[in-house]
Amino acid sequence: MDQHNPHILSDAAEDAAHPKWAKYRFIVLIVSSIAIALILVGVSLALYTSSGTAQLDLSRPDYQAVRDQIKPDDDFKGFSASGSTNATELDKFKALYDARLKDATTVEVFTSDVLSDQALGIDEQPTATQ
Amino acid sequence: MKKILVVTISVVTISALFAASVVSAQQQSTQMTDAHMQRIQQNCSEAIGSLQQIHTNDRLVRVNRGQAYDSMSTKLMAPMNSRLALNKLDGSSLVKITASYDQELASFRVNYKKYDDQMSSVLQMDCRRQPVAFYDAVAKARASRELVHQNTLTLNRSIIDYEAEFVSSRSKFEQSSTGGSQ
Repeated sequence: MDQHNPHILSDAAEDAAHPKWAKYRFIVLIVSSIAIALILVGVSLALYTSSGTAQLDLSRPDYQAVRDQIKPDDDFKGFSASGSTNATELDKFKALYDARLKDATTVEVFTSDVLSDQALGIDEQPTATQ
Repeated sequence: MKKILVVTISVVTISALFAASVVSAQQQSTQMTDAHMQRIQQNCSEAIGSLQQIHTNDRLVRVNRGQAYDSMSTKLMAPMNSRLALNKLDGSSLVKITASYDQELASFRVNYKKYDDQMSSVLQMDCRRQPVAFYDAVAKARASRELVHQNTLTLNRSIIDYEAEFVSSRSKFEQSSTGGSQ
């Protein structure tokens, strides 16, 4: 004769209390952690490329040769937004501005002639025979 | 009868459009001679080497020039405009130049990104196998680079304009400052 023992769970209650996947929970934890990490890496890489940061990133090994030619900008404090507009202050601004103007405008950059067919040697006729 | 007419007209139109596109494609591909294609294939590795060098140098120029352009706006123009406003001086012409400068700087960033993407795609191409596509891609990169170049010229002009405007208004600012302190 079966007697109901309150300390022994029925099969349904046992399944509810300890689902089958529970014995794999450590593996589930690891797999889900890796999946979340991969998704986050994907999102950050997408942001890295779409925002234009990739174009400014010279930390990659390909750019090792030119990395030391970067001009640090941190030491330039600029002009204060508060204060008077007397001759001394305006002179100070002019000196700062002129120095920066020189940096920004002296050399013409991104001229398209470096990508010309002749420069790359992909023009129709060799320049030497012309 | 009407249905047949409509179907006939549709077929003729579609055929004509298809033929036109085929002719156009043929004309594009026949623009490049065999000798020219051969020359591209022969000079392929040198061209890729040059393009890689240009691409690397461009990134350096983009970083340095970008910093210089950015600091012109954020560390010089904007603080000066703020100071003039705080001193209740009319710097509207300087603000106008700064606004157009900032707009051009944003355009420079966008155009450089497009140019860099185009250069990256050129560098991934096999110019020995696809000389025509390579040539066209280089032409596109050149056009993108020209847009970036135009941006830099406009930025330079704005920088010079700001200075010229500052110099011409300077006496007015000084007088107002002296008048205010008396």
